[in-house]
Amino acid sequence: MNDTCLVKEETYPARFLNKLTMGMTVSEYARKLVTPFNVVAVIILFVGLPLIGLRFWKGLATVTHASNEYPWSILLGWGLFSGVPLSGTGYVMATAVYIFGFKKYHPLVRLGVLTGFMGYLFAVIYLLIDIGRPWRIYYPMAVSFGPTSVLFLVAWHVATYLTVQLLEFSPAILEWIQARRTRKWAVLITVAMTIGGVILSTLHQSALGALFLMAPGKLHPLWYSAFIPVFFFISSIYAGLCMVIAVSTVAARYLREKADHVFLDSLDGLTIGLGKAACIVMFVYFALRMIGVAHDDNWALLSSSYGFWFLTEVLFFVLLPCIVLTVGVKRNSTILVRLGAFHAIAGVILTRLNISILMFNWNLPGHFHAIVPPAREIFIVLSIITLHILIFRWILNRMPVMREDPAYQEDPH
Amino acid sequence: MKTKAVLTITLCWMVALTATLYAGAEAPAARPAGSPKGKMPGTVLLGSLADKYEPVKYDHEKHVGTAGSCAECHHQHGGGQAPSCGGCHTIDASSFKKNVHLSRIRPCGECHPASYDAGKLDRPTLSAAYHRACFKCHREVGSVGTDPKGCTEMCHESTAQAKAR
Amino acid sequence: MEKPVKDAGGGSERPERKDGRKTVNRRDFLRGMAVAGGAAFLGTPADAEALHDLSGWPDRMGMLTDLTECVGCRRCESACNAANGLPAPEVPFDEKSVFERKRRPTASAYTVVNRYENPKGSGNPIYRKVQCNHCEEPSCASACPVRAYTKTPEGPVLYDKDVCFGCRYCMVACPYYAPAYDYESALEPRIVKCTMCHGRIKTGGIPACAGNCPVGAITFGKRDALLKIARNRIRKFPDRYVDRIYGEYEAGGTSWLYLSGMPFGQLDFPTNLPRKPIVENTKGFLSAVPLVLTLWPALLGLCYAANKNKEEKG
Repeated sequence: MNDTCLVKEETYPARFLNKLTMGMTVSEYARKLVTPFNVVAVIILFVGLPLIGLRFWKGLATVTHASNEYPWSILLGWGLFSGVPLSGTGYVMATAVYIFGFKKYHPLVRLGVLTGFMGYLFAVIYLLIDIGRPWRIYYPMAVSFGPTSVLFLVAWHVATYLTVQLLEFSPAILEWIQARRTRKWAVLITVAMTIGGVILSTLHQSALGALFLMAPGKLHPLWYSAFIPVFFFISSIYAGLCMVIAVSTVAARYLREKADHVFLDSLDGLTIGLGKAACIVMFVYFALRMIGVAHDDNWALLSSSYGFWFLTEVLFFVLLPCIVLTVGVKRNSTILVRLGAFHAIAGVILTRLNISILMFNWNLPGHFHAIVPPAREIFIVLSIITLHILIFRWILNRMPVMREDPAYQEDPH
Repeated sequence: MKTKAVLTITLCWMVALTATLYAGAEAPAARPAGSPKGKMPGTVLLGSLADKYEPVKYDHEKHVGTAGSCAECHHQHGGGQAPSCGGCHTIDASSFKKNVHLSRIRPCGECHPASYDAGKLDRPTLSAAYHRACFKCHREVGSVGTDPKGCTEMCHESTAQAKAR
Repeated sequence: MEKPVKDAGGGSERPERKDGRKTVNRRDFLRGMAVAGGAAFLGTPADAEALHDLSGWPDRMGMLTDLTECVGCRRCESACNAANGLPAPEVPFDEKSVFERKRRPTASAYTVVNRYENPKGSGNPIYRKVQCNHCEEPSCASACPVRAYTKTPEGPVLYDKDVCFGCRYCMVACPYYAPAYDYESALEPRIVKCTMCHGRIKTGGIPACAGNCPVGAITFGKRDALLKIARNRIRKFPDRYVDRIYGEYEAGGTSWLYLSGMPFGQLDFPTNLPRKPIVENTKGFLSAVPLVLTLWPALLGLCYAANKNKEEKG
């Protein structure tokens, strides 16, 4: 049935090694590793990882242009502020399947939870590189509490939610290492974890936006609004939905052999369904952004150059992908839906970068020069993205994420 | 005959002496109108910043000539920063009908505390009062107010420079 | 597949499903919603007005800086440097070339003086001293997730480097851009800012800058007394001063008060600050947190139960 009966006679180290190399011999596996993608990845890591070492050896000044006016740069603008909404895949899929009962999306749940878990794990990694004293990262959790701070909430929630996501994904890990009894417990807590996950996600997705409520004078009025927390939360919902579409598209294309027929056959239909949900949420989000402008009566600002940029963000990167998705759903075209999803993701990244970097301190002299990150910082970000993709792929190659492990088909899910 | 000669010589001697005395001495500084009688200080040694600078040799007599009135620095009445009348005078309503004369000019240190005084917050300390009075003119004359080196340009000699001398 | 269970009392029937879980019946649902709703109301502050009315430490000190007196001698910078054991500057304190560009406090300078053109043309340049303003309700303190900032009873806002983990959110939150960060250090990076010589004032002394200003432009005293003095000065010399004490109300008020002969906006003072403390902006969001923590489980639990119910029925 599977290879467990063959390897039971082997020793534990041999079995473990076999699991790592996916059944191939070590030399076979090593040869298979040499692909163009992997070579490029290694080159990027070769340059980037020592730069991370440099940051810890000689200080943040060596790899960022972070200054006293601009304390946060692209390490957080990308890693935390963009990474977290794109990691909303976990709570969105789990809620859809386990709470709202959309059972047909079950094949995508694990992929969503894994994407989310990895996203949050790497957000923590970006944080560990960016904060001044990373060895004190647990201080808000254990040493000194500052509950008046929105960031205190973010810290607690990211830590808790990372645990929740790990627990939600644990059935896949436990299946891989064949721990049947532990897996049963892990599955039992799924619904509770899902509810916990939604609560935590609602709060910290919006909290990341609420951070900027402390800087009203520094954020351009078209982006600053009392409703920022709502904007961030709603956009994280469609970001999660579109990210599932995007990741499943890429995974089905490049890791096809790791998916079972249930996954592959249903993917197109599920993609359309996700697209339907996404375009509804995006339309609501677009309306909310307009309400944000109306609430502060900022219509006049739309005619400035910053207003032009704002309109680019909401019309070209929110309304347009919403329309593309709607048309794609109406015509049952997975290509259009996928295009719309990638476009929407770009829009989410843009809005997060706008708020955390581009439109922050917009009125300081020399602003557009000050926000350009140095090449070193860009390389660090690139290398962490590479690491992220490599680890993601490593897990997808080995664990039952896009397929059901036949040994556990009879067990509760 | 002898008495006449002695008297004449004494007279000439007195005239000569008086003449020399008057010739050698500078013309006394014109007393500003309304100034109190009594001796004016010549040179004053201001030494409260003794940690960084040598005491300032302040030529009071020279400044009296350049200042328009005593009130420029002794701002009991002038300069728009006068304390209230009752602070220095005992007020007798009838005296407002006549000219009011102050019998003496109070030294700066009588009103301005030498060091921080929490009870007199609206009054500059003595060194601050000195500087404000000096800067009224010296911001134009020297580079005070345009160059932090202005301190040593005209008034202060730093202790380092004094040691080097 | 419903299997009626023996009635355990209370008269409610809780049919059991195959996996051992029970469905939600009407009574439980109503009970749950009542609890959630009640908790939501409990979360509302009883007296929302009182939140905006922090009167502050009664004997807190302040620093009144009269910009019409400052002559740009930079003795305050030099005294601060000496009093706090800061590193020697690259350009000495008696150099006027530093005035050519606007500076800000850095990791090695708690305070700087900047020069501005006098709009009257012929007049002396105007100088402005920049440092942490020791706000009444400091945004940095509210923003810090580890409570590294304290508004002391004496007035200064102090930073504790022993709990700070370097998130730099305080730098985002400060409307005056006051905190500086030591990015150069790998092992001991920390925030650097003026301490209003807290150690000195606690033992009855006065801050180094105030004590060393040759013209007494900085007056140190109780904030309430300084406000009276400032108002008095404006009243006595209306042509000398702009009719505003900067720091009286800005973002809830600051300990550092300024008087000026020029409009403050022309001296790079932020003029777009609201009167209420900046932290008020986040109170709405943070009050929603317990609401979400209470309502979401109830609502989502309800959705889950409704779905399970539909599944079994259909």
